Amino acid sequence: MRAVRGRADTRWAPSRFNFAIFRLAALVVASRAVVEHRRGEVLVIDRNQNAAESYAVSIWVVASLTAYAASLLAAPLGWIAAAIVALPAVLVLCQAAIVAGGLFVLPAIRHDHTRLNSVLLMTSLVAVSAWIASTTLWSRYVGMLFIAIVALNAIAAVPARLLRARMAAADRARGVTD
Amino acid sequence: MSWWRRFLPRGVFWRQMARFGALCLPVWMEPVVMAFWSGFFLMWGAGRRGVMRNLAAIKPRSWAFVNFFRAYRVFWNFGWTMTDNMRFKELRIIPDWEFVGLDHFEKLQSEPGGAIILTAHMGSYDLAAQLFSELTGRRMYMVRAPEIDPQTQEFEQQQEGRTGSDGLTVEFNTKSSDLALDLLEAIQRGELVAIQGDRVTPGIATFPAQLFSKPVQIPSGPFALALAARVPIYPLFVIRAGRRRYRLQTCEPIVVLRTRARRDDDLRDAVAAWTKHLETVIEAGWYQWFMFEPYSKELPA
Repeated sequence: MRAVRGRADTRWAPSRFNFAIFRLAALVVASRAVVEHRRGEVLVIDRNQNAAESYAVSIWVVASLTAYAASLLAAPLGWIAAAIVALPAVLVLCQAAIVAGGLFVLPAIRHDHTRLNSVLLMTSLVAVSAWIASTTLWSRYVGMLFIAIVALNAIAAVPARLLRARMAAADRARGVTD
Repeated sequence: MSWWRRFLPRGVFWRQMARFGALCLPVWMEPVVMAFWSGFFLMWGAGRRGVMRNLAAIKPRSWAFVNFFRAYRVFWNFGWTMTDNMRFKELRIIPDWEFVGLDHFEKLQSEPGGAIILTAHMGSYDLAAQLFSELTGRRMYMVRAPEIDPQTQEFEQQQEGRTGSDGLTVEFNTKSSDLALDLLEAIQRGELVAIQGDRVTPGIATFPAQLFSKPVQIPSGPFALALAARVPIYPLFVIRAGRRRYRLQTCEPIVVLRTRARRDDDLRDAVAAWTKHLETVIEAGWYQWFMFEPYSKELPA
């Protein structure tokens, strides 16, 4: 695994980000960031290394699913009960979905299943959001927003791919070597 | 053994789940999973009460109500460090590091005749030992407390055998007399020996000390070993500083010399120096001192 020693500004290296939107944002920040030497700093080059990206996506997914659950449960349970139950129900469902997804992809690849499970879960989330967006529930707007963000990321993947050379240059400027 | 024991808090099922998570969990779902399971493990009464009682000693004027939420933070950090450790073992993905006390760390690396690293149950000490041996090229001998559950212990040993580093030997301190000779030999070969100095397991020699004004038993082995092998002890703490980020804090070495008639008098100074470091680090990083039992007999069990 690659790592950069003594450079705090490596945190903005685009290759430390996963989603296309975040990689493009990192490219913009990296092109303006100044070299920041810090003794004793070791930053790893891995596409899932950024905490803000991980937390942002996680919160966005849970918030969207909670909105869906609250709107679906409001009819049988009433608004107050639905609002109380929605978040715990979503958290339990998320665990179940991850385990189910994991068991589904487990035989497919020998070792690292995180990427395949990630695609599987995100596809399921898009499908659920598309269904919610097609209903008359108030959460349809949340569903539409979810799909819009996923679409935006897909669109951002095009310039991110076209700017691969610039991203590699930004990585090198932040101390990343091949 | 009853089949359901694997589902107890220290049971093997949770280690297997952690491994499953490291191999299958999408990274963008990690915070949700951690938040959920940290809350779930708060239902483990003995562990929660142990953490809360330790917190009451670390923060003497704290409220039990607040310590309940602090206990959640301890479980949260434990979950993350366990995952980071598992991910490294299974996928060789390492976190970011920052070094504090780099001069001491460099001195430790260049110690010609071996040294003792004294650490605590904080952050990912397991991961740090693996990385240290891989990155520095120095052989390391790590001594750790055995798991209480036999199946969990077996799982850990199997995983160690399957995913361990060439430069790292892990031993469980179950038989102190046998292990002492192995450790002495390792030091004499110029290897580093890492030992946890904040918890005592049954059957190992102890030394009385004070921690946060409470009497506590500290393992005397590392200090006796330093005295016998004439090597310094480096207090080294691995502190989780954020998601996939750790701080490796190396303190000034403790030198144990035979200067007085009674051996215990020399050891007492060294133990006092260690507990002082320990107190300072735990006070600042209470949220990741993974001590799930009351650390002192004076604290109610």
